[in-house]
Amino acid sequence: MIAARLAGSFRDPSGHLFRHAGRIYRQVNASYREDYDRLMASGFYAAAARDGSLLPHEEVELVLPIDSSDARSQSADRGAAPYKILLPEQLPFVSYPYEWSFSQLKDAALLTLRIQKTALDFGLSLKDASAFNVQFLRGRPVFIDTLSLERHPENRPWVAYRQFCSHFLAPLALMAYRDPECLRWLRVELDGMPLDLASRLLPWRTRCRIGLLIHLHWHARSQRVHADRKDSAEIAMRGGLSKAGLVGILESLENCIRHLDWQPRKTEWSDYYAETNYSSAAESHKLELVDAFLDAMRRPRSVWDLGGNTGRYGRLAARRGIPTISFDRDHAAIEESYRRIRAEGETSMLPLVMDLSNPTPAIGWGNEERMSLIERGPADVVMALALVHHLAIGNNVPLARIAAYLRSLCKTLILEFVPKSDSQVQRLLRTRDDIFPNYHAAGFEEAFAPYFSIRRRETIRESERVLYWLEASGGN
Amino acid sequence: MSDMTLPRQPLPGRKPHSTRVAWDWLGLYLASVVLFPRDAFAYLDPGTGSMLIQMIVGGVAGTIVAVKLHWSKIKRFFGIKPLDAPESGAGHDRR
Repeated sequence: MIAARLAGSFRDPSGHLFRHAGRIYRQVNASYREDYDRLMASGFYAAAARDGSLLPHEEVELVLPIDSSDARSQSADRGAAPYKILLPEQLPFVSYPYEWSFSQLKDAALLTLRIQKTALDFGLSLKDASAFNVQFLRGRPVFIDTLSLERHPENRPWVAYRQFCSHFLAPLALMAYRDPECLRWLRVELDGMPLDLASRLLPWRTRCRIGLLIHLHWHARSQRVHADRKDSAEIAMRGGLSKAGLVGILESLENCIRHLDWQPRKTEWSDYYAETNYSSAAESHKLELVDAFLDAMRRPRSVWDLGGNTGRYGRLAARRGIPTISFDRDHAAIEESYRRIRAEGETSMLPLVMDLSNPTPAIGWGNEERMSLIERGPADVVMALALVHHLAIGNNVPLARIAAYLRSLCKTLILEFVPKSDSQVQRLLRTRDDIFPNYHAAGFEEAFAPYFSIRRRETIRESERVLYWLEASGGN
Repeated sequence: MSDMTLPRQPLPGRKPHSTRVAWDWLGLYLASVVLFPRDAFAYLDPGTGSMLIQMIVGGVAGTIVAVKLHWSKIKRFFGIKPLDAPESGAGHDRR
């Protein structure tokens, strides 16, 4: 079996990720040998893996046929030859910073600083501080890029300082002081928010906050002033920053980020459950039915709750220990869900910001560095509760296309159909012509028939809504 | 990381001269901000400015740390008696 190199890890000469027999491995290159040995021998790895801040791995013996491009690069560069093969703990799902909520990005930032600070005590330092190096596992952020740690040369400033400020500090400040939707910028700027842009976009009063003044505004100015100046570069390369100074910078960054805050106000969606149009009897019946469907299924390995809001229904799956992703386009709903995970120590739930009418595309170098949503699927089960009317009527997506898309995401589908007579659908139609003659239960079933067959159909008590258990029909 | 239990290594590289160097560059930095308010090339070379600002800010931070570490000695130098706190070991990590 051939090992497929993952497209997202080509920049680092220290090693790369590859997929083999359904698992993700990490190759450590000969050029990173010294740093890797130091990392393992220093005691840092053991301590960080034990407390859950660094993704643990085991070293494995694995001799693989390498593809020809790798063979060519190895013969040209002995440093690229494999030194060790690591099998890291496998992540159930890879998420990206532009899909996180404010607190998720903030926790990832604090974790990165904590790792850097501890690493210094072991004579190590992070050479990257990319937000992509953090993932969420069992409800907590974890640093995944083992090869980012290298020996810290004395007196050297932190090489990843700029990256940290661009990936974490600038977007967090913009979210806190402007709008949480500023996070979407990270989808455009893959190496983080340019600091001069962030500095221009932030309100003037952020200059009164010493941390933001130094690490963002002055930092941006310093970049501008010293860019492309040979004398400045010479001074920078000579170094001259004591370890105490560096620790001071890290503590100042930490303090600054701790004080950045965003409180989700009641939005149209985060307040959704308080504002539903159906009775509590209908709601508890809906909960019961979803629960019963999940009970009757052969234990799914993954559940995606699309349009999951604050995760009420997704939690029915998460409670069973099934890794569950709850997607919603509303930042406040995702933030609320994440705060609950943190407060209650939930381990199977991951809420992510996602607009299903425009889901995360594949981006980066060659459009393959960061995966699209669909590439990260399929899930065993998808829940689409009270979602179809938003796509069909709110976004003019024909029912057949919704069916085809959902089919590409899963084999089993739990779907709630909300008929036109429902007041929520009436709200969507209030200011527009009804150009949806086929939007009714029979039309829905007909459109979905080529992709799914109906396993169960239940009308939700005290409502006109119907809950379906659908199974993919034919083919894979 | 408070929950990391392994012994800390002593702080290496806290050399008085590096603080001094940083102060020198503070002057250079402030001068350069005034003298060269250029907007070019930051996208080609954002690294230099990021390194320099750390050296400046770190110099100040390092000085504060040093002052904190030697606070009791400084107070004694000025004839202020320490109240009840025993002298904290100057060579130790500051936590």
